Amino acid sequence: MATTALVGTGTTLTLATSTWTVEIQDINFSGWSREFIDTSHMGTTTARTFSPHDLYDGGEVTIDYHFNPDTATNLPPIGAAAETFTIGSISNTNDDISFSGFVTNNDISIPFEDKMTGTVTIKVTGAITHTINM
Amino acid sequence: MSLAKALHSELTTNLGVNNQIGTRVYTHKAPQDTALPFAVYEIDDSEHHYHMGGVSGLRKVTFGINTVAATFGAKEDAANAIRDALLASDITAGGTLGAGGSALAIQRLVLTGEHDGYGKVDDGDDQIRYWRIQDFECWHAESVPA
Repeated sequence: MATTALVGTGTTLTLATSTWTVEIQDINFSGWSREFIDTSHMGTTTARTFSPHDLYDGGEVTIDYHFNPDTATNLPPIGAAAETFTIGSISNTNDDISFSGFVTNNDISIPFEDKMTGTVTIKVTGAITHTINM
Repeated sequence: MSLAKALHSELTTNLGVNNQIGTRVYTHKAPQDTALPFAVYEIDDSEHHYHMGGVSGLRKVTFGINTVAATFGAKEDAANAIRDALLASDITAGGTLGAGGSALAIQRLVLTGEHDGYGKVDDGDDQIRYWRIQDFECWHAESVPA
């Protein structure tokens, strides 16, 4: 089946417990990785060998948004416990990516002559689930 | 919501501007043989802002106003009156441009640059004129389609 490139417009964000009312511009996953052990030894030839850990690290999700102080729930829930984040309607499809996570950082920019923006960082804890809803 | 309409409304009803150029404020081009001084304005560029869900309702516009006069003094007075009208405290740091049905809520309006000239202009009269082009930048809300 051919894979077609898509733009991200139309993607939504839903939090299971907290309320976060926000206009989202960008969503970035980073550090979604798995560590490995070097298993090379004296008898290894040609190239080093490695063994993967069983557990991967879901990394962090960074979200850029429009900051609007007039909206009561515009600031992300930085004090909340870990909860399920669902990134849905990806590119206006019915597909979503969900994970449990908690906010670790929030930066806000209030520039002199430009729109106000924020950047929130969410640490992923546990597995990331990709659901395709055809 | 029309910045062009709001500009026309503001400049044609402002007392300081009226004292200099009356209501001779035109978009794109002045009618042939228009009395002097007059002003012509035009939208140069616009930037519309969006988010994942669609239109954000924020627009940044750059526009220019060209003030044309027969004398240096008249050009100075008219251009300065236009500057004062648009940079008035009730508009430049958040307020309303224009009035009535042409009123537009403004988040920010600034004068970003200007330059003067002397020569023939396209006003239907083959005469030498004094002119000043003022460049402005404006942030305002725009409608969010349902």
